[in-house]
Amino acid sequence: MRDGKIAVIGRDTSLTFKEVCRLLPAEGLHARGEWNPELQQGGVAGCQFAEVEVDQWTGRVQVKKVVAVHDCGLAINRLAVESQINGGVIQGLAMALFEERIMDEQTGRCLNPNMEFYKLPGSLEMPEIMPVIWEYGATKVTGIGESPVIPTAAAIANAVFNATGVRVHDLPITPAKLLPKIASGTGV
Amino acid sequence: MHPFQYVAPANLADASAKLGEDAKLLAGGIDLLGEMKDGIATPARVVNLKSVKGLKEITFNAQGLTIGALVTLAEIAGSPRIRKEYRGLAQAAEAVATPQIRNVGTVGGNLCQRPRCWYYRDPDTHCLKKGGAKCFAVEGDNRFHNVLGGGPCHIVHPSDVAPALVAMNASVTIFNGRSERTTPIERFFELPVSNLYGENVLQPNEIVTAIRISPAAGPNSTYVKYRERESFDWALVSAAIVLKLSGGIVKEAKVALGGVAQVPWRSVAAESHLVGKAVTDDSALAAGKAAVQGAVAMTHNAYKIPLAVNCVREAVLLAAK
Repeated sequence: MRDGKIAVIGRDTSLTFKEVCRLLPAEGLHARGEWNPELQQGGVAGCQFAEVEVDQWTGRVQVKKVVAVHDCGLAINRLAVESQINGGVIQGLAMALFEERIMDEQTGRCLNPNMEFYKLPGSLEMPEIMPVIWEYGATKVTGIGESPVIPTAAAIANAVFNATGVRVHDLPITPAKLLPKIASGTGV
Repeated sequence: MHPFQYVAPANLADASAKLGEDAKLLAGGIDLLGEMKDGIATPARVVNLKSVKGLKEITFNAQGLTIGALVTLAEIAGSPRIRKEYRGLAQAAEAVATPQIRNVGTVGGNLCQRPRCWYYRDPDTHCLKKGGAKCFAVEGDNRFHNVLGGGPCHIVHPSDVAPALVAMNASVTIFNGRSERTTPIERFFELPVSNLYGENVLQPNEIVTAIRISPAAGPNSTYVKYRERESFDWALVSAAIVLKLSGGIVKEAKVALGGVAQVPWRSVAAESHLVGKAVTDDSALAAGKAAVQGAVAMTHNAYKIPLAVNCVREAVLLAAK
């Protein structure tokens, strides 16, 4: 990689990832190589910011915007990195506000083994998501697979606290949990 | 799925004759197929109602509005005249599920659908409603169950359209195999003390053929649905309001709640707090508080009570606009 493009050592030409993909033959490309530990580094990191609106009459949390800054080392396929960040933020939002495996204490059965009551966010729950690839001239790859889902729920919970003065320590943050605390003004 | 016989009768009499304890009616199939795939309904025969003609009309006349039982929720939500003259009904139909479900789901099916209670819907849990010995919601996870209407079964009626129709004084036309009768919608739904195993008065061979609303509800009607997830969800609580205003004063009011009881819950107390007054923040909130008179929280659903107060308040304020 040279200046965000794919280049060949010893040659001047370089192409964007998209231009290279256009050149791929229909049957695909076979190549053989060896893992080179010099090409990777550890130290995956990131931070996320969430802006929320809490309806004080319903206890419902609407996430308006998430800014997700992630260090993945050298970003090769930037579109894929941003998509992975988008996906992680959506899953993190789901964790914060919707997902819950509900077990019945009487019978030991799962009460919501379905998409009806194991709730995942839909299009109307989506915030504006701004993925930011943290650039600092890295020449080695770190990775982006797992990290974008990690901070989101915490950012949302902190934003709910900022909006209402109420901390909900137990995910998901549902109207059932939030409304009684807002209504009574008990706060923390 | 268990094997079943499928019939497509040409008329209502044939359809009714084919129904029975072990034969179920298929309209849009949104709820019936769900029950069959969950294993809680195993009819020996499925009777398609869509082959019967004459049940898909929306008719406006001097008496009001007649909606055939097979009219879809999308057709109701998409009718400009219903939205203008029966606004709360259009809003309620539009609040149901998703566009795909509304395209197929019928108004008759929406009223007759079975509850969503996760003990009822589990084929391996033999709850009270299915003939078992106890209601598992009492000691179990009852976060979505009722706060009004008492017991011994603690479901909430899942329909959005039902409270809107209750607030509009609608009536339900039922064919019993030989003749039709018309029942006010408030008497169509039954509490568990009257009917433990079902939610309405229909006998096994009876068919809802139409809904009638007379006179027009007018533009000051709303339906407000509070839910956890906007994209696709059942109501936590909902409120249907119909107001008749004159000179800014409420002459008549109808208030019906969803998500709180085993039937769409009419609140005469809330109505009496609105009549004779202007609609203000204070009167709307007072109506909300009156609407939850007698509400009793279960172990996990106390939040529904303030939520219902706020829902009625918001719906009243919107209805006055």
